[in-house]
Amino acid sequence: MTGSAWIMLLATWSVVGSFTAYFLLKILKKDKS
Amino acid sequence: MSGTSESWGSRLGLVLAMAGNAVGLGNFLRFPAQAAQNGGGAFLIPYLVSFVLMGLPLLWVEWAIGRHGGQFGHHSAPGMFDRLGKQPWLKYVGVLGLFTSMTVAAYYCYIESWTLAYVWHSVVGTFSEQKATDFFPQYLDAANGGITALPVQGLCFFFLTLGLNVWVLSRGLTAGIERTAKLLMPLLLVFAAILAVRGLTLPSTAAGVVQSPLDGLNFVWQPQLSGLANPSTWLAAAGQVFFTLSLGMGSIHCYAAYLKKNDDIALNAASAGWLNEFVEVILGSAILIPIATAYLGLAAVQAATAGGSGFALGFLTLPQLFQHWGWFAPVAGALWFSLLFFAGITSSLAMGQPLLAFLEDEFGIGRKKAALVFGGSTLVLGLWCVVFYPAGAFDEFDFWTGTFSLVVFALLEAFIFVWIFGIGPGWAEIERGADIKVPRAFRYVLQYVTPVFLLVVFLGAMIKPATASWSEAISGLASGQGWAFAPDSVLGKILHVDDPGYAWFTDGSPTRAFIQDMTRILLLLVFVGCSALVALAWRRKKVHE
Repeated sequence: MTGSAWIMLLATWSVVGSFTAYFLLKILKKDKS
Repeated sequence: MSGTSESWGSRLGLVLAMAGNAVGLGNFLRFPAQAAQNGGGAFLIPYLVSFVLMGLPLLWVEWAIGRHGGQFGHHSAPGMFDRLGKQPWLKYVGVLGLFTSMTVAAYYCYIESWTLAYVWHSVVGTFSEQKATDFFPQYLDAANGGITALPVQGLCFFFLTLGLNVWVLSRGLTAGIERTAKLLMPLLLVFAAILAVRGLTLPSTAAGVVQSPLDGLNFVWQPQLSGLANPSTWLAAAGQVFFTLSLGMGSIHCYAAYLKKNDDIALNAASAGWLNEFVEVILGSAILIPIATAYLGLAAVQAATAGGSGFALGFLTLPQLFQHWGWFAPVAGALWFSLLFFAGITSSLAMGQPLLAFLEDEFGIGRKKAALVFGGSTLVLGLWCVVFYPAGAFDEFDFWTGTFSLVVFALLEAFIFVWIFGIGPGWAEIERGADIKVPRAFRYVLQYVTPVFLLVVFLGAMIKPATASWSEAISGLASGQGWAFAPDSVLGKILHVDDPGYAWFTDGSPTRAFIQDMTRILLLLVFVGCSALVALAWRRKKVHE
């Protein structure tokens, strides 16, 4: 894989992964409280 | 109006059911091919921009319309839209939400049944003896050269799939839909992760491997920044975001209607939307194309995804490629088609629920009977798709209900929410009970940007040019060469531009064009029928008041 492909992949996966984790954790936290 | 006292059992169950509604076969088959064909990694820029400016705001709109309608005892779109303003025609816009989910379910359940059949055939080892490219046309009975098909095995799996859907729906919201989503969505994630890891770690020395699977990943992610200047890339990205989120179908409204007045929608909608993106962008890009590239080489994969669909790779090629994996081949086949089946059934259940809710709320019909009515209508419409598959009836359903109708409904709902219900009450509806602060900028996005985005997608679908590039088509028009419609544009379909010898009969026998036009008339009649049912329900209500 080229460097630019790695950069795009890692940047996008980080953005999507972080938002998904953030919102789901928030839901689990709210559910607990 | 009887109303239903049903509600979601847990918040996680609701989010998983909503995410299950959105996650479909397209996440694994359409997205990677679309990304690869539209600028690779650069596709993700317009894709994420479209998600934030169109997808997310529309999710909030649909959740808000749904929860608002639910407070008045309406869990299907006609009743919900009736409550958005005083205009009596609003409920007929809502008919689109009923019609679309009902008609998409008909052909979608047929695709879903293929995945179930493929699970079975993977397990019993059919693909070790017969090529999937030979198996599939036989399975569909589409190789006889005629315009009709009678696939006995295909029908058996279709009945089984339909039976499963009816059974789950008849069990109710919590015991049926929510429990199914809670079981199948985690399994889907695990199965996809196993296949992604296995595919991406294929050693170059393994039998049959001709290229690194990472070259396939490179094909999807290599940014071709020149694509950003091409309107086709933006339209493809907006279209993909739109379809992947199951917007404009009436199913999100329906699920959201079972929320209580002060339940959160802002965080729930964002969670379900981002979970769908996770499955699509991370898992969807890591299975199909990398594995196919490893065994076929990049050139063959580029050719197979040229139309922007990974359907052929998923159903015709992958079962064959798994055979290189020895004892793991049947397991891999079962994992791949099971995850597609899980993605399918969690979506088809969401397509069935609006009709059930409509019959329960507006006609007082019990859930079990309503589930049977859904089964019956899906069977009749689905059989049309099955029998006239070779003549293109299936594709007609996919285009008019699974593509066009969705965009029309979403466009109308965006305008109605902002300009008839009003952005003030609309924004208050989104913010009420919210567990996250929705940035105020989205109020203006909703008011001005989202409707324009949708209008552009709609116009793009109407007049898509025959040439691959919009820029070429526009300069051609400016230089007096006219505008040639693409065969898959709305006007191209209406004008049958792909059929120069258009006729209903040849030598006294009906043609493909005849079946295609009959399919359109059938869909129109279904829409009229749904509208008549709505009119009848409201008349009955008036008499009882």
